[in-house]
Amino acid sequence: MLKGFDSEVFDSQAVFRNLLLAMANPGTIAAPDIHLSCPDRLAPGAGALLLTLLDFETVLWSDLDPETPEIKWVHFHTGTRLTPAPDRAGFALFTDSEKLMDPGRFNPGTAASPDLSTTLVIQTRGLDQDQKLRLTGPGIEKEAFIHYAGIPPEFWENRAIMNQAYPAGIDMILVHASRITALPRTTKVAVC
Amino acid sequence: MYVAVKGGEKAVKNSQRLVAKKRRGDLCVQKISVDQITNQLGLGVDRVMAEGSLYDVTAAAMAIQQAQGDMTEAIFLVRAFRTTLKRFGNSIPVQTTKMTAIRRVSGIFKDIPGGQVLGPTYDYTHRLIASDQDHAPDPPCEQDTDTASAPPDQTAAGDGISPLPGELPRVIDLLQAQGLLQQDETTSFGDTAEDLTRQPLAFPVSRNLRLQTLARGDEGFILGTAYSLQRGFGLDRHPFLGELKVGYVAVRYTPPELGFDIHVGRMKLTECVMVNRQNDAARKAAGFETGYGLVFGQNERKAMSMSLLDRSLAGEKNTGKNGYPARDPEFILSHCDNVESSGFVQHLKLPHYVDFQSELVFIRNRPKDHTPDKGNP
Repeated sequence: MLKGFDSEVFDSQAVFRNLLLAMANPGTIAAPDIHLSCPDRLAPGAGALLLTLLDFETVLWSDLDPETPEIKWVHFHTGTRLTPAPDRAGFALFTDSEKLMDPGRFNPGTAASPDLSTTLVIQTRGLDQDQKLRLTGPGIEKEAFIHYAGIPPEFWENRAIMNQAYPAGIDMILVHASRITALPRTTKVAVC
Repeated sequence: MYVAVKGGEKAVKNSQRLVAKKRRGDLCVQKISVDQITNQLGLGVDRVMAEGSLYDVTAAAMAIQQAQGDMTEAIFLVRAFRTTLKRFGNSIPVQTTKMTAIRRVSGIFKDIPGGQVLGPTYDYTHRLIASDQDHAPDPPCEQDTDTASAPPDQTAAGDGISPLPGELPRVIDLLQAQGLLQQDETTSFGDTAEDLTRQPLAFPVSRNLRLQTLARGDEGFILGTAYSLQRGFGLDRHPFLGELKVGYVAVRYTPPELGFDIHVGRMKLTECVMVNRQNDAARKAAGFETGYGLVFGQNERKAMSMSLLDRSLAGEKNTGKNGYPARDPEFILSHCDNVESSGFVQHLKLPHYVDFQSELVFIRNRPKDHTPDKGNP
């Protein structure tokens, strides 16, 4: 079993601070300055996020089997509960972005409690600021651009449809290697 | 919940300096220590732990000192401290039947198995302020061999009273055995239980959440509303004290990687069961129904009031009493938290200059010949 953070307190705080930055400024690429070795199929950025966000009270859905070394590692370090039902998950992990499902299958929360929604952590195959996706909305002064490699184009249509139910909706964190970006439900995405 | 207040930086700093000075008091008088508070103001510590929802004697004592003895402020400090603590799991439900009791009484049967045990209580004191108490010399300090290795509040013997036998039969089981008790709603434990500190209170409220809310509710509010029930605002039958017990229970936890349970600590609890004759109109076979109270530390007034409210809020419909405050879960449970109540009432100290301007504008713009509305339709 691989070890977790070098320092549980300082590393998780550094990751959380970076996530806050990425969430508040959609399109910004954040890179927490920490060292973490994760099992094969788990990107260091995604591993760091999961160790930071999960504990024994959270419920995780994943595209990996619960018996894989990746999920065993996450479970060992966080004590998170696992669910096979996407709509019951507080967090969801996609290690393969090609197999992304309709985000509508996850829990968007309710108008009274939009905070109960699922947060997606998606591992992409590449991440840069090419002008492929145009982002607008809160936290972006005029517009921002981002490009994620390996996300099926229909995913963005499904996301737009689902987020019409605002304030219910799904927040997403997209990762490549150890870099993270976020697309909160308020961010409008246009494919250029 | 209103937490912090902004203001002019210099004025705020000076105010903080002043409060620190007031808290310390006369420098010629010796400062009190946290140990003195845990030892000699134990019931105050118990109250702060109960309403602060955190069983931590030291934190509660420090909070009482920092708040200058203002209990609601101390409770606020403990609640704030509680949010910073890492949660690592749920304990196994404590067994109050296996409680090491230091006090146990029943108001319904004289000869209860195990006996009536008064233990430490103010019930039989004369309520006279004894001025000589301050000057009476303490007996010589002897280290009790039983407690030498444990902090004073962690062992029953630390109270200087020998504990009762490990297991006392529950008074309520006597009624249960005769089939006189109504079965209560089943409650759930551990991972499946709801947790008031993790989710907002939404109505209708389960018994689990109702008891959690009452257990951390303000003692004064819980007591006053329970009293209103007894005075006829919601209860038309005399309630009886089935059993009141104060003692220590073991807290056990099963770490998932170990697979067996370990003892992680002890805590002092007050448990109360109230018994009421059921409403005839409901035509239930059993005969009696119960209300339950469980509070951190020793606080009998709170545990008894909690049991009365638990029953009255169980919400038996069509009794004609539902209009009373103490029968209304939304009224009681939404207003019994003193951190929330205190925050909202005290936020009125904050600047409301703009809100008030709008009131002024409204009044000044009224037509000149405006006469007060007599309230006629």
